[in-house]
Amino acid sequence: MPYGYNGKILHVDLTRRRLEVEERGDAFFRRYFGGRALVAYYLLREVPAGADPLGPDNVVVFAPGVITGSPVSGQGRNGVGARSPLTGGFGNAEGGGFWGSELKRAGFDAIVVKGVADRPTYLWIRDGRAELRDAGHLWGRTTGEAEDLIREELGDRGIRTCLIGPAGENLVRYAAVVNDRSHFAGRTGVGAVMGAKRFKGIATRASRLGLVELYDPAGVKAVATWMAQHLDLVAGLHDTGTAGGLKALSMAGGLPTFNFQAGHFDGDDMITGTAMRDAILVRRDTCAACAVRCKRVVEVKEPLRVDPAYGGPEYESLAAMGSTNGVDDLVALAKANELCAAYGLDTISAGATIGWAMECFERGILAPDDTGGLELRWGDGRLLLKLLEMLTYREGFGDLLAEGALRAARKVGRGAEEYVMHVKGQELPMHEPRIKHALGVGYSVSPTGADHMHNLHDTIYLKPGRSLDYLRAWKPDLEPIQAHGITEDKVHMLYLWSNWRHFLDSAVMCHFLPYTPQQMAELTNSCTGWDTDVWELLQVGERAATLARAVNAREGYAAGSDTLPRRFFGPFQRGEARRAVPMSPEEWERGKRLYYAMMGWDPATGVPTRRRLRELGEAWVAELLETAAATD
Amino acid sequence: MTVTVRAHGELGRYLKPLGGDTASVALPAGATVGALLDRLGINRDEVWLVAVNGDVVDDGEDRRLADGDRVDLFAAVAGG
Repeated sequence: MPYGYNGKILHVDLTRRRLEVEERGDAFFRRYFGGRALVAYYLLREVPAGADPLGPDNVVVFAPGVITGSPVSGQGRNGVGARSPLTGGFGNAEGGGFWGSELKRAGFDAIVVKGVADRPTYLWIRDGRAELRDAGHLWGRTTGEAEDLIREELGDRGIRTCLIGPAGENLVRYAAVVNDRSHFAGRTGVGAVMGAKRFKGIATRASRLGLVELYDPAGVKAVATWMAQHLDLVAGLHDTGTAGGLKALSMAGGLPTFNFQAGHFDGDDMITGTAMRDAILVRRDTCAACAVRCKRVVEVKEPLRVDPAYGGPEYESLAAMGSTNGVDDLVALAKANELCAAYGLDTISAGATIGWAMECFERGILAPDDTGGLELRWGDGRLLLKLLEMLTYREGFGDLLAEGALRAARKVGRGAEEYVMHVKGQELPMHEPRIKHALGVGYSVSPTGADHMHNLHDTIYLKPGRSLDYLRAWKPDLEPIQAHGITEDKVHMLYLWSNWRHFLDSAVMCHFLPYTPQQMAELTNSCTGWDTDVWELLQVGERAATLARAVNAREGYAAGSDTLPRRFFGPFQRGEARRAVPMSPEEWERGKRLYYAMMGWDPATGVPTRRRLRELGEAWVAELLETAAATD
Repeated sequence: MTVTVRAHGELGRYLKPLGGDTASVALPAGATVGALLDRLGINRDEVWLVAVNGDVVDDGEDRRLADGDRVDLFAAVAGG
């Protein structure tokens, strides 16, 4: 009996309606852990090069990690992945809640789904048994309605769900996968891949607690106790949520506003975490076993009804749908968040795609003739809600928005592409690289397209403190940095930190918990009985990033795809610069090359070298890439 | 003199014992932002931005305060 994991990966072939269990041991799980690394492994192994993201050959991977299911704060997350219908490359996102933990305790470490069902289908997993069931009555339903119906049908209120809503069914290219109706694995459009497979999702139930055997339960408990005694380190997160920092970003000129034309939003006070707490927060929610309780639950009765069952908005959602569109109507934003959870939409891409359309309308590139008569004006919260409905159901102009900003712009032509804020087709998250320049490099080199979580936020390293101490686990001589400019030290920090985040997304652990790298190694060892250390864990992250890069390389992505919107190399179009300084294209280019060198990727093409793949124990991937290149 | 302080995000915890996100603090005339931070027991390394009367100030901790000033304190923000 392994410790920390079950050793079982469930393979689901929807075309043949066949289920098979793959058994794996320590050698496999110590290498791939779960989450991102496991997703990358299965995408390379199972998906043929050039497979249509919305076709039968794509796979969807659902993967918690070796720590998931243990009784410690921050473990209640899981990854989902597929070849992305948004970027065409490595698709992967993580969501919290209870479902991932439930899956581990129900006896599986991951689920790999391929093929296409001939009718709407869902997977029911209970205590090690799995069954495909008809989802005809769930199709077209919101995530909340579908969860209610599943619980009713199976007669168990304790069932946890991982589902798509109508957006995934309608193949919106940035459809999310939603855990327990209020936790999103938002990015890269994995929900649309499920929709294309007529796969509504997975209902899961573990009837006993503590089914995952731990090697050293006392060691795990020690970490849990430490966290419970240090909740002051995350008191702000508990109090005002991730939106607690929104005002700070706006004051610095770092809050994406009017589609990144500005960095300060005059309506910022209306949409902060504090405003939300004081006006509409009814309670705080959490993920499995987590003492932090950072999740918002909001309720509004008038003028719009906002259902608390769908939780409440994170910072990214408030900025992407709010300041990016000039909307300072908190109630409308809470409603928009509810719609995104119910329909299964990535709030970032949805908000950012609408922001692109708003700017195109302002510039006369889009006109009422294109929008079905709609006037796209900044700041219109009701319009935002209408557009979310339209794009979910692909009605009228919404059909264009459902394609994501880049595809939409290419259809529109007339120079609309200039205003798409994206990398690799994925809309930018809500962090302005002109106030933190290394973040811009991180956006460009991320395997998922622009990402803020496995990225360096320069501004948290300006002074001594916990952030810098964290990185000193691998580089003890690090000193505080400047927010602007891209130095070799900064790129080294990006290399270390992004790989560590790739590890956390493989473990799969929450990024907001204040555990030190050493504590993460101790936690891993207590769960599994291994003797790992911070360097081996960092290498798990590096392996995840490199395999993800290989997924992209196989689909023809190379260094030339590591772009950044031109906007960041100039000043804001509107408002004061505050702390924003245009990035230097030369520094950015040099930063990317340095990052490739540190990762052991080819400095010219950005493709992982055979040598580094061999060092990571993944020589088979080098052969795969060489075969793909030879057939091009 | 008296100034009004508001602490945002993770800095909010320093003012909680005083009853909320905002506090009125009595300081000697001409005291700096740094003195205010010390009075409140706020670790200076945790402060990213200081705004006085709504504007971010470039001199940060060295800024001299005047009676009635409103001071906003912000911690640096990473991904979320």
